[in-house]
Amino acid sequence: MSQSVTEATTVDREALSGDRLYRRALIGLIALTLALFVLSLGLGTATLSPTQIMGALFSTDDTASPVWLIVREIRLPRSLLAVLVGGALGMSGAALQGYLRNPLAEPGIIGASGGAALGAVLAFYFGLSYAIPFAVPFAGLLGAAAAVVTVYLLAGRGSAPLTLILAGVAISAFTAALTSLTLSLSPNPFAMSEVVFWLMGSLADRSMNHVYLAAPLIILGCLILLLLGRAIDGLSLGEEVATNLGINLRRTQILLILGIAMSVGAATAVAGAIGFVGLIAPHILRPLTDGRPSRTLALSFFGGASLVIAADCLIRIITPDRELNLGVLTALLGAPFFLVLILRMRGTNYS
Amino acid sequence: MTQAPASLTAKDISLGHRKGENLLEAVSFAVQPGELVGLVGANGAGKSSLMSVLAGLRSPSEGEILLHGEPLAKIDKRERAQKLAYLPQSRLVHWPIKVRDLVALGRLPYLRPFAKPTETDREAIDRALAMTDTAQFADRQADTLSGGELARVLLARALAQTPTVLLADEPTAALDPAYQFRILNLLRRAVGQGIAVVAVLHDLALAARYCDRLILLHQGGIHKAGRPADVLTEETVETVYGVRVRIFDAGGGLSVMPIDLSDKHDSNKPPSGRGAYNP
Amino acid sequence: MGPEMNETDAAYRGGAEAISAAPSPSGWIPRLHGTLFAAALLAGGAAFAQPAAAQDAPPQRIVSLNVCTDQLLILLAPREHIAAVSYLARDPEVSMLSEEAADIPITYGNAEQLIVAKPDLILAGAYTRANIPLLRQLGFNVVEVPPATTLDEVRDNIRAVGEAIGETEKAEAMVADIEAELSALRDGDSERPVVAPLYANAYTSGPGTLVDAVIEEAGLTSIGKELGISGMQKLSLETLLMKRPDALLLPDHRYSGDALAYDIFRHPALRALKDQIPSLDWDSAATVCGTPNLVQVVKRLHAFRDELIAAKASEAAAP
Repeated sequence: MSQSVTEATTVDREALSGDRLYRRALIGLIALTLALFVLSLGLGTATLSPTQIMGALFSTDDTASPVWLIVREIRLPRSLLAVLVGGALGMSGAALQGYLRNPLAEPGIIGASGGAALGAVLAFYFGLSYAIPFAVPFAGLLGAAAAVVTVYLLAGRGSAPLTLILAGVAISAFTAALTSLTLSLSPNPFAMSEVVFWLMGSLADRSMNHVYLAAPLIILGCLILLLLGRAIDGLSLGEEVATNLGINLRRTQILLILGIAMSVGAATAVAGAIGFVGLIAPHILRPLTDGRPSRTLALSFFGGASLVIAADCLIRIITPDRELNLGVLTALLGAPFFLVLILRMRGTNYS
Repeated sequence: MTQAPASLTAKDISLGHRKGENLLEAVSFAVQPGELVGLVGANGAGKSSLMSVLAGLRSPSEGEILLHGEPLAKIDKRERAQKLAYLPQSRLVHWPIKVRDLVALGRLPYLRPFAKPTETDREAIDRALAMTDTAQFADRQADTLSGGELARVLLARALAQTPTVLLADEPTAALDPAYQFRILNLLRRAVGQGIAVVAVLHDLALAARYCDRLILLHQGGIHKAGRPADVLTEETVETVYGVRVRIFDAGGGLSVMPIDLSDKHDSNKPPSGRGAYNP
Repeated sequence: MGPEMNETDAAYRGGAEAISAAPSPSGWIPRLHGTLFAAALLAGGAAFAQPAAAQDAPPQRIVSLNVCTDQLLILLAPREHIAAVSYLARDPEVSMLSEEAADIPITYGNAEQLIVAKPDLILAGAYTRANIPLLRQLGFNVVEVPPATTLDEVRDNIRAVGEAIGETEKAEAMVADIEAELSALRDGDSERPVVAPLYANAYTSGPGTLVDAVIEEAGLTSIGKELGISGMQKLSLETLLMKRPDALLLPDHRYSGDALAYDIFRHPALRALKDQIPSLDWDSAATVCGTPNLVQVVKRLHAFRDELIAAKASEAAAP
């Protein structure tokens, strides 16, 4: 009797410490995101003092002043979008990795971002954005969904992780080519040079309009992904056990595709295709989750957000006049990271 | 005369195969609470297919499965998950999950989304850990366990579901004899608590020793079912497995000994070894 | 321009004899012997014979490869002497004569096309796609007219084109007209409001560009000059807001279809700025090249400047 009591308390204590670590990590990441958000508000070609910035943020007097305009109409949307876009990409990456049981999966690599960019380009350059409000992010959603479904059909269920990556690479290459083709067919000659934005992403000169366009879909998509926590946990032991535990795999699949399409689709529609965030964030944060994949979801939202804000700040510090594309920075960081992951995986027997 | 329905009933299960031949042909049997039924048969006899049908993972082309008298297909998924636990043959663990959390997965069917585990859940987990003697690894990561330890932990997950029916597909596969005994002892312990257990087993002696009843599958159908002594006769073994054996009653249970090592399909002569064995 | 002119003199006098039949101005019909001729040229790499000199005949088959020389050519040369202009001549966003160019054959500056067409004079700018050294090697008479960045250079270019095509009188007359109109505008007013010309992708034109020269001539100052930005460079929206010019110069878009390049004009911050300071939708296409159309632009800017000064004065006067 007493033995089982002590065993029970041991279990409880362990449960508590694992939970405590996760809670602390989550709070820490939220704090980091906030701190970087504030830093981001302070960066730009105009020199503004912190008091000026705070003043513009919290008051609506003097909305015509340059300071107010800069803070509220230029820096605030940029920073908000960095959080939303980074969060969407991070959480989508975590959800994909959890569902596919594949640490190499992320929306960029499996072609979701490429598909979203193609959808957005088709809508934007052919004038749909004037005809239908929210046309561009919705088109991004459809493009992302189509790409994910195609990759899934190509790679099949339960396939080796590298097969999925190969299918994703094929789809990404294809959508990139179609995007360039679409741009070259646009009646506007500026279109062709804008391919860099769509394929490499940027947060420069975004406005609150972009935030209003993207935020609803991103938030909704992320909420849907959060709901998949249980299913992803259940899948830790494979599909058969997950089904036995009462998880509806078909419903999980549909919700996953919907959540990713919404969040990545809208994010790409306003910021272009940004890769590797969804790969790096969940991977770095996994040790804090005690092996529970559902915990990577919320952590990766703020992890991804922090990553993107930090990269965006770096861009404004290093090349303030002719800004580097955000996707270039994330790729510079992410591609080597990805390579290391692959090499590590080849060494082990991945099950 | 109203009898409580059997825990798990298979009624006329047939399972078709793409190529035309049926994997399962009119399989019918029932498992009572507190009974350990061993499912034996040659490779390809249909044991794993039958297990997936019993677990509700595959739909039979004909017939139905009843869980406590209710058609399995009609039972709400959550309720089914609370009553029926399935332990697959492949011991997949995809993430470096902690043992305690792995076992806690067995409580998923009881948890509401985003809800914290309740006292009941914690007790079920503790009991499962205690029963399988795995409480000592509770904070270790699953990928650091040995094969035998992992087998026990995965069984603990199934037990944490507090099921009334437990389906174990080759729970003793790839385990050393000591671990095989341990797992089977655990299954008997579960049976002692009233759970109906169906286990696919390859070792005939162990099956005979531990199971209350045996079902011998042959080419998709039930060749013989009943008490181990009735099912495992030298004739049935030769028919089903294609090997000649001698079966002894070695006091504690049946002992099965092959007497002819030559493979009917193999032209090679058996080795005339210097070993103790001498046909 | 002197020594070059002698070379071209000799060349196009000879060129006149080399032409076997009247040019057909309404399209590129690669006549069979023309193609064979081109093939022989490309294969052998031999320059075709320098034709014997003829006297005083102006070039009869002129090709222009640059949108600025296109427009000067159209304005100065008789229509039958123009064999082709560049494809940009029909682009309404950079050419003021896009309608007039509608029935003139266009070229993309491709060396093969040029060989087939056998012009006796090629007018080019500094950034033409065509390979000018190659064309000279093949024996063509190429006159390069660099882009004008000051009004003096505009005058020089008009004269240069006039000489090259044999219409020196017309060219002089054009220069005189321009000068007359511009000098009428000059008043000694020292006040120079600051304007910000804004283009797609948030570019602005600072000192060293024709736009800046036009702005200065109209009695204004460009924001590029104030900020020390020369040439055409991206202007940060934040800088624009902080610097706050006296007025904005906004281009008129003539391309169909949307592009991200136009996002700057939709940006709420710029819209807010537009509500606060005056802006002029000006004919930005007219400032791309140094043609007489510049005068209209200068006049319009000058009038705008007077408005700006008057508005400021009344604001200062109001209590």
